[in-house]
Amino acid sequence: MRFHWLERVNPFVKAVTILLCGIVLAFTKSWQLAVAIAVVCLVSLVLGTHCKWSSMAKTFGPAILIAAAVFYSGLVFGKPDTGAEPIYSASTMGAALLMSSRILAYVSMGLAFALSSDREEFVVSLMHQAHFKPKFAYGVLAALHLLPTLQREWQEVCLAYQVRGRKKGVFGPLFNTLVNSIRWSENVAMAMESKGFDGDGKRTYAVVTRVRAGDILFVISCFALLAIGIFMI
Amino acid sequence: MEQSAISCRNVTFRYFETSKPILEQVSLELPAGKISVLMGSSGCGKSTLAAVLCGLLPENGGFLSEGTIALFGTPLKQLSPVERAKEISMMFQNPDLQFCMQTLRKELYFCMENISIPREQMKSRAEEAARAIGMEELLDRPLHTLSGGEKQRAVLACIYLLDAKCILLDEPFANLDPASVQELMMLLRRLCREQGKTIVAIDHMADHWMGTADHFLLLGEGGKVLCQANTAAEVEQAKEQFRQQGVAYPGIWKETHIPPLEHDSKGNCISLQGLTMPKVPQKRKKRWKQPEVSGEQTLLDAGEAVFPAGRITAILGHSGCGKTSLLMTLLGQRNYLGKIEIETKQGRRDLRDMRPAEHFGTIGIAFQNPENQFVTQNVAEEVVDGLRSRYPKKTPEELKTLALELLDSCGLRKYQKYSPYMLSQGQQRRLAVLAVLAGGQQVLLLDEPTYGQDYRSARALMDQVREQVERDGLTVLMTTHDRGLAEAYADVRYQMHDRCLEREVDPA
Repeated sequence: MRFHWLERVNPFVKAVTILLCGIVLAFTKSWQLAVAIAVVCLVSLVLGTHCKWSSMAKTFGPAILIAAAVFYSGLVFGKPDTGAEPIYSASTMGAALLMSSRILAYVSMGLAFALSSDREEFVVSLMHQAHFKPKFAYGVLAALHLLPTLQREWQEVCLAYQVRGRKKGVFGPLFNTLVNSIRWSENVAMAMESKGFDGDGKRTYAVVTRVRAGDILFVISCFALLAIGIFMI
Repeated sequence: MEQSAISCRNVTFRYFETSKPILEQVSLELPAGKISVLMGSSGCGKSTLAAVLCGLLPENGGFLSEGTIALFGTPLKQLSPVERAKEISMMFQNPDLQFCMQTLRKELYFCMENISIPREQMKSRAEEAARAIGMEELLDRPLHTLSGGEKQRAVLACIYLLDAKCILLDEPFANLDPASVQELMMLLRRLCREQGKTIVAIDHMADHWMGTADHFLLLGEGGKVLCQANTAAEVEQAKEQFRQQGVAYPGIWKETHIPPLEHDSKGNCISLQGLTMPKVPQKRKKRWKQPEVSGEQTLLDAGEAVFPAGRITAILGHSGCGKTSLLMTLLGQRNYLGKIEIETKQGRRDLRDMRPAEHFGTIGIAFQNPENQFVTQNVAEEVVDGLRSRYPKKTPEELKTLALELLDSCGLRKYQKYSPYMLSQGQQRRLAVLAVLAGGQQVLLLDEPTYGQDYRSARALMDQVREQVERDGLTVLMTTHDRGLAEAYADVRYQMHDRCLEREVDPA
């Protein structure tokens, strides 16, 4: 059974909460806590959002690989090689576990935010809760929505390189795309202004995000869980 | 006397403090409630003038050193962007770069937020605007999936919603097919006649506007008004001046008709046999696997055509009918059904058997947007790069001399040290064609060669191509929706419609 309570939390509040939890995590030294956080994040993603399994796997799969690599290298090379001793011991084991579990914890915290938030809603909440200027917020939105066009242009530039018998590379096409996007940004800015957009002027809003009781409950429960985790584990 | 919507006096504008002014002492009056068209060649400052009249420049760069502009009697300087949007709003040339939201509904909400319309009214107002412009069904479709014509209509819906008294259009039809142009034109006429909007368009072709516009103004160097014409007869009289400025008027292509070259069936360069292209483009696979598509899922269904060698073939058709897809298929970028045979130096080959390198050595392409295909940062280097792959044994100095000769032949030599991005659109396209042909390809694909170009540069480009065809036996295949151009230059014409490719035969 999947609900979507995590999707309904105000995105800005969610971002700040997760960020703060991340900072607190940086000062702890327990791998059990990191694993617990990772598990809590993943469970709330499964129970609290409608995100696709595939998008979870796409990000989390590589993270497991990296964590495993860090674990192994921490285990084997965590201590200076003095010759006679076995290559791993209890102390390197602890360090390896701590490093790799932290990777998993941070990745799953990031995932919990990214897969449960709508990017447009996030930008809107930046305006309403964080008091960002509309100029900035709508600029970000415009750039986001230019991505499909950018992708199309990129393919065309790459094809042009092939047609001209050049190795595709990355930097050549990148230069063309960069030149294009600078001019585009001017064009889009003028189009927005011609529609009456005034970066700092008075305006109404079609969507207003608010901090509701549920959001405060979310913050309190997050920190409560974290506190319990720190003292228990 | 009738009120003038826009009046500007002695406007002088430059992009950099010390540079030559792009607009010099421009004065003009545009009557309210009428459709006026400002015409001029590329680079005469039309688009700059539009942006200045809208107040977008100098706000976004540049210097207005002299002159005053008034909208309906109010000086432009006193208006904030919000107030300005209620007086004048603009539609730009490139339909892709005018939106900041994902769907038309959200874009309309954005417009209403700007002019502080209460939230409760937004939904009904957005739907009303969409209904008026005939965009209801497309309200929630992502904007980037719409066609060029639909995007321009979406902009019109925004302008309608802002209720601007004056609509300024900067080359709105640059890349639309005739059907979409007609549709937009009808909407504009209605907005003008029924709602009393003032419409000011900037264009380098008079064709579309005959019978619609009340007022033609011809702009020369520095944006100066050279002449005015109010009726078809007056346009007829002013033809000579139009021609001097490189501006197209109805029938201009016909005046310089070149008789098509004869061709026989033996010299076929490319032949398509039962070519079927899927509607959703499929990328070419390493190993060709034939897609299974039929009927409605196809863009072209069992098309048969031959493109003669050493001749120019034009493919006409409305946008979205698959012209560009056909070129991409010929370039080996798309999956297809059927057979494509190409005559190469090594004899007749099936496209499926050719490796990309060999293929690109035979076929070159010039895209709609030439900026996407420059691979160097210097005009001369651009041509040298093409020549190098053709003559691997020559020394760099020899290549450079050869490149300069080629540049000289199309009047680009003086720009040899420039960056390609600094050239005008017309020059860029000529350079792109030159650079592609320097590689020694025998077949050139041209995608909409007149896109965003005035008559003079289109003419220069086509003359250059034509010369290569006659001298070197180049085979050219171009897509266009400019029938005049196709009739003037193409030896063979094909019409693409309803998933068929049909050869056009001249009545004579």
